[in-house]
Amino acid sequence: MTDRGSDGRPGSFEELVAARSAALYRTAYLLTGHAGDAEDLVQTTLEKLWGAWRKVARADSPDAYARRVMMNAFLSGRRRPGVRRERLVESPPDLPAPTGTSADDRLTLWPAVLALPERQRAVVVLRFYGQLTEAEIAEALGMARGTVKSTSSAALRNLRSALEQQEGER
Amino acid sequence: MSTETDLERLLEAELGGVAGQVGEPRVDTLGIVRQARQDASSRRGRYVLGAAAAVVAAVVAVAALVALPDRDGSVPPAAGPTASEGATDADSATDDADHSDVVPYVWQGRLYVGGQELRLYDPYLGLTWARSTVVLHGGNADVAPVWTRDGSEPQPLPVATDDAGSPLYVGGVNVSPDGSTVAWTEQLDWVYRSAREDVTVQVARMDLDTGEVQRTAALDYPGEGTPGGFLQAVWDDGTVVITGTPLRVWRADGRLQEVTSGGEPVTGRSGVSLGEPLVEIQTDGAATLASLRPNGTVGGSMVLPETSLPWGALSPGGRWYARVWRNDDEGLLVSDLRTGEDVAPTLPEARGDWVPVAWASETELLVLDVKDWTWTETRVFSEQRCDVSTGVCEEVEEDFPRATVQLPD
Repeated sequence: MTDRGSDGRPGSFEELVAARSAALYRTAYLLTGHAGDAEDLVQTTLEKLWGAWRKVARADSPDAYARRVMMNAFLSGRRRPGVRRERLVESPPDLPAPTGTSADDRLTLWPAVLALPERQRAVVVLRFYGQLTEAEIAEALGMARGTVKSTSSAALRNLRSALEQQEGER
Repeated sequence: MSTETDLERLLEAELGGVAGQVGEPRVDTLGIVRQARQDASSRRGRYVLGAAAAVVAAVVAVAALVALPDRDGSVPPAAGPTASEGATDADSATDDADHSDVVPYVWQGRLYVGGQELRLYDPYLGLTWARSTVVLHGGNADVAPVWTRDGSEPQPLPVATDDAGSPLYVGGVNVSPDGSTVAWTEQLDWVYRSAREDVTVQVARMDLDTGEVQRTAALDYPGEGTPGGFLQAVWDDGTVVITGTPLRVWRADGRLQEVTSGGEPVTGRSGVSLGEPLVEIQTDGAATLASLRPNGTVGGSMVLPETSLPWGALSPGGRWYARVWRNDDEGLLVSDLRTGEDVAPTLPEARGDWVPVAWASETELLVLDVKDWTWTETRVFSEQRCDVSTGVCEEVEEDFPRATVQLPD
């Protein structure tokens, strides 16, 4: 564990956890739509970051590195829905949902976001929540910028369609 | 919702609103550190790492890839990603761990495992890896394929046996890019795969997360020889691409599709992917990289300059495609998938049509150069550092750390 670098970047793993875990958790929640899954995703991300700490510490942008790791973990974890490392227990240890009121009830777009395919959802979260550029999203997701653009367009198309369907049902 | 901008603003507001209501995570920082240290400790116990000066890591060639200008003319497919979309011009292979300690190394053409030389009678040096999954396999029955993952003890691949109890001949061992699936072919009527031999194989795949092994029925490739029923790629979702006529795709759900174009079966030389459904097919003496649709048809394509044997490797970022040309006196080709052109003259010293190639990163191409071999004499390999932009190869002289893997008893 080293001291904080002169450039203000987190100098130790603990500093990174303290400084970034809340932000990572918010992104993870938007990706997974579930508090427990989001915590798992953050934990997995941090484990991987710790395992590669020498690389992370040297990275130009530890935040970008963390984003990339989280996206990899999110997308790879979703590929095999039947395979989970966790063991189910009788009494769920999860905390209650993080919000006092259900966001799902209040927001019309949120369920539609959760219904998007994982890659589209990841692009939407990074673009409209993370405010990342196309290039940054491409880096985070390991895809070409053109793919980011087409994936984003498809996501918006799906969301618009979902909204129109909701409006039609009213 | 009147405009796209309205939708985007609503999206920003809603995502911000949801995120704003999320509390703090419960993250066990100390647990992470403790677990990681335990993992590292146990891994050290399994691996012997050193920096023996006399032992040179083989098969390392650094490709000093240069950015070439885009060229219009690549044909986007009607569905699925194009080859150019699958490419990225950044060194985007950000791996989340350093896996260099799990790759067993080769020295002077011989693979050392557990400090002992692994005899290889076939020029096909079977060493395949993706992320932390490594599979060792060779072209001879006394080289039993083994796999390891995340530094685990190597375990034998569950190869099927014949009626006499002998393991079937294994070929085409592949690891999915995420390291979670290993697939291979088992040759049911073994013949040396020269031209025009009848080939019958079954294809097996193993999910390393669950240990589940699946096999196809017997697949016949009459008169096809080398490319018939050869397995080039297994994708992250478990899909396996089987070369030959027809090109077959064995989906994760068990469906076995014959790939078609315009209603006609296509001949597939290789399947390449890194999450991108691309396959290489044969068209009139050229190699065509095409996108594969879910229904088994192929979409738009990019024609590459030369044919290749059914081996190819897509760089992690998807920009470069390394493959081996069919002629022994030629060798390795590296194509820029943004332009469809080879980035360098054929690497002159990389000979032999069984040259193992693998991308260690977006800019590092690993090559074992077969300098000289015969069917009965000891092969002489060399380790090459090749700049694919110039085609110049130099013998590697640096010392590299060595890692060895203990074989199971």
